[in-house]
Amino acid sequence: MRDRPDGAALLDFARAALLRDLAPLLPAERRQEAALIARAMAIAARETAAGDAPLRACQAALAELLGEGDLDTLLRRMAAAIRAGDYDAPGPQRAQARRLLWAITVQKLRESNPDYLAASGLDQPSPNGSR
Amino acid sequence: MTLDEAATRERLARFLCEAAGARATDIVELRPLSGGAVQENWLLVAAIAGGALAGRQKLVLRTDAATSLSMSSDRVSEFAVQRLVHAAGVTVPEPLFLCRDAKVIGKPFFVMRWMPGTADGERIVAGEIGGSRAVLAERLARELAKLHQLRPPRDALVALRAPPHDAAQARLEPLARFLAAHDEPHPVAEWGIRWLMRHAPPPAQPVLCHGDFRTGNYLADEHGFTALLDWDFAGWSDPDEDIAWFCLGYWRFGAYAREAGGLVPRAAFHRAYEAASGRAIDPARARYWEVMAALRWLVIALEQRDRFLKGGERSLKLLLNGRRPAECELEILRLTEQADEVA
Repeated sequence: MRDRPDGAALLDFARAALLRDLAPLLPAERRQEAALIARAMAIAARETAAGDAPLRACQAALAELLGEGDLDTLLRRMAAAIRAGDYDAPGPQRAQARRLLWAITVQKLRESNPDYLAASGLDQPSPNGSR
Repeated sequence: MTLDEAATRERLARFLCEAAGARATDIVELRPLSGGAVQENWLLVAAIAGGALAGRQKLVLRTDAATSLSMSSDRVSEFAVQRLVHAAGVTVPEPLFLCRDAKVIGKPFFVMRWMPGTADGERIVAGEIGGSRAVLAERLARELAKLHQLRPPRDALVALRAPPHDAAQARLEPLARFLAAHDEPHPVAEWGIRWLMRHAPPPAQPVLCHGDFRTGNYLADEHGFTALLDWDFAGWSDPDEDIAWFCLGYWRFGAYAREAGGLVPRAAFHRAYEAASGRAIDPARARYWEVMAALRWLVIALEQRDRFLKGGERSLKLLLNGRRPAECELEILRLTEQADEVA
């Protein structure tokens, strides 16, 4: 068992305290570091909140196109197939490969930089920024 | 040997004195300015008696961050480029003296005039400094157009790699090699490489390119643009490469909707460049080079992350760049899809 609050909530609060209370007290040339620390915490918090579900979804989608295998194996298979030109020709294969790559990329950005997704018109902006 | 040591400062003063043809030179102030990961910049205030630079001079000393012989030729080449573009009327800090002798401060360096302003992209993009973003972007377009008038051959730039027959191929090959050898799979990057290989435009006449033309690499003060910095990636390439790099998502410093350096929309920057250069930008070529820019930044981000994970450099900035490739992947997918739809 775990006591409350969970890790994601702790990270969220710690990040807010860093940005709101601590960063303004830093000399100007070190504020960038606080922003980087806050960014690392934001990614970790989003990743913790999402758990393994995005990875499982990604694995399942890849398996549909490329057969069975763990996530790493399937990603390697996909990269090799692209490099070999398997999806060069326009058509349903290329379209399916492209959809899959989009899904993987959007999933990664939801954790790494949701604001980038939002600015690209692909998702909602995050409430507290992610850059 | 560090620049702070009295003996080093004394050798530096002697070098300046001789290089400036002065009677006497005192170093009044010497302190580090914020620099890049590869270079160090020091503010150098000198009191110079006699010679062409007589008086109190505010200068910048630029050198490699680490003592490294393999890098030393880069400073020499950067100095040559900066001299040439300064003479051609591009607004850069005037480069004054080059010192190849590692005995003076421990590594080669050059000295240029100090210029006012900040390179802080966050503040410039936020409009805190730099004046009107539209004016700033227009000025940058003019500076870039002026730079791109320089064509090979140039005897002063023999240290640069020879002009490539095909700039796209020359850029793409090492990126593809890096990714093929990398220990993790990067299917979207492969998608980009494959697309770039199959859609290469006819080679353009190479021109002198900045190689890292972006917000963060120019100075701006409260009135606007003051100088173009960081010439260490300069080389012969396709002019559209500089234009595309300027529009890369990462260099918008969060102002993603203003594609050109976080300052103005892409189309406005293209128009300003076209007006200044008299050359029409082909949107398909510009897009091709934007795909290349996304791929190049993806590789740089991985390289920087690997410096932490494999090289033991404990920098959070390097580490965090490990989470940047997804932004480039989005651009690769978006731009190649747009192009496929047009085709």
